[in-house]
Amino acid sequence: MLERTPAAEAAAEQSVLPRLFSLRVPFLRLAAGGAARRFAGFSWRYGAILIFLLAWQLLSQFNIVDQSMIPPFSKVVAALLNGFSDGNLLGNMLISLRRSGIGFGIAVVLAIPLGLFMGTFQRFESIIDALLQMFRQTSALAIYPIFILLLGLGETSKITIICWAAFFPLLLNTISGVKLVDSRLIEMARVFGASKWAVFRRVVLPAAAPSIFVGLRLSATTALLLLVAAEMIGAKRGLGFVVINAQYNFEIPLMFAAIVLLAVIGLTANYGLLRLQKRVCRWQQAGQAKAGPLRTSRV
Amino acid sequence: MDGYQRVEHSLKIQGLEKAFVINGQVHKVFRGVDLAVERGAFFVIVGESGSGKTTLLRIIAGLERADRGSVAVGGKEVERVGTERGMVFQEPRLLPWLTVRKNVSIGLELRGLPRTEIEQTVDEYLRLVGLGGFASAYPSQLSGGMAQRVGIARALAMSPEILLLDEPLGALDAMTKIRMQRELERIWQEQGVTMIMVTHDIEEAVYLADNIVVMAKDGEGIREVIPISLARPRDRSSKQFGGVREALLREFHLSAH
Repeated sequence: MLERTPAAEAAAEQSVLPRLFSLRVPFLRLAAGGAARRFAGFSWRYGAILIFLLAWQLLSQFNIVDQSMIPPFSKVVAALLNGFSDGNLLGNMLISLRRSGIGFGIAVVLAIPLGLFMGTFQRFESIIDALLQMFRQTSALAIYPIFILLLGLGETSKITIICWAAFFPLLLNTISGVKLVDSRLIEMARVFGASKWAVFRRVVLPAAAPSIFVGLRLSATTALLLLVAAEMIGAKRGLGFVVINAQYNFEIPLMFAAIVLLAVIGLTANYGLLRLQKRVCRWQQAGQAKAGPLRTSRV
Repeated sequence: MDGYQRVEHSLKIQGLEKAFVINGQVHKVFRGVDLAVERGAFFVIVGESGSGKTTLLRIIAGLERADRGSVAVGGKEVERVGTERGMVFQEPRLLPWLTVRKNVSIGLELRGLPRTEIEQTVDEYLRLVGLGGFASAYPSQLSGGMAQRVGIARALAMSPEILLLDEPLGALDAMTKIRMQRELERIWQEQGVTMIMVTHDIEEAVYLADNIVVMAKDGEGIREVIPISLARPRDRSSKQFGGVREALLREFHLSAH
């Protein structure tokens, strides 16, 4: 009954082959002898950074900019290595990572389930949306004194403020991810026998995943931002404290070293989340543009 | 098929009536719709936009409720969506994060069938629609025609009593469309499944249908059911084909004034 398979017919469909090939290009580039091309892409991307660092080094070294204010990059690297070998920077970094990690982690655990719930049950969302908008628009730093008042100057208030600030971008992106799921796909799933729970698990959740990842990356950035601010205001340890304290003591290379370290942490967190997104949402690479930084600007 | 099955109806619609309320005003979509479709028949519903043909299909699918009347599929009254009614949408509606294989599996997985059985069934229907080699492709890698084939395989894999097709070829280019019409005819002949298709393409209707259901504008329901007895495969350039098409077109011109 199934003998007369029309594979030839399908193959004849004109637009098929060009499409497949054009979409396969990224894979080919990764798979076959694309190493050279990948390196070329790499060098263009990071060439700008290298030029920036080189300019920094030279301008400072020849005292075109004031060396005492902006030390050469080599001195910053030396201070960085020194700070790691004597344990000063390393210890402060670990404390900072702990604070931001816990704050971010709690935000994730709270915001994703709540966001999924609010996106699904929109009556609930419409009730508390105004309240959330008010909280979100209030600068987290302005609220920090309240947390200090309530929770003291210890770790709890810092972790709380980080968690608070990281909570909102993730929550809002999760909600919009759920709300923007194509209703036609949901209808399709129903026609094929999906229960409400099956629709959620098989359609809503995977469809919202890219948006949730955008939220995760925004939240991670926010967590680091608030970390530094909180450590500058009320801490005796941590990288934010190192930055402000080094400035007081005019240990300018150390100050820059801590700033560079914070930048590296931020980049690493973002890169890690991007890698995770590519693993979880592997389908996105097949067709859609990679959910790069472009999408974050939307929020 | 034996004589008993021939008179058995896949679909029986009686006294169906539907109206929408828009801004407090009642708009009648259709009323008094009666239709009986024998098992294995190919019915094509045509009508101008606003004639309620898509609404009729969605009521049969259980996606919308009628105000009055009844729809029975395979002798059982339709209350809500159910997998004995397969559906092919105008847009393929594939899940972009799943491979072609997984997209075709979805209904069978929801049915809770064992994995090996699902694999077997999916392979069978992917071969039927000519996509045997594309099981691990993602929807974004497919052309419009191929994506629609996946949609057809997905619906047929459920072994439905009837297959509902809502302008399934409406978004395809002319060449692909003609090829897909041949495909649909072949699949219908091989599978013997009852098909109810909505289209606004008169030629498509004449090419595919056993019976063309003409929906009236202005909420009057079915104007007439025209049996098409041309031999298959039908030759679009033949005199008879042209005659039927002209007659139908004239019908629409008359109804417009």
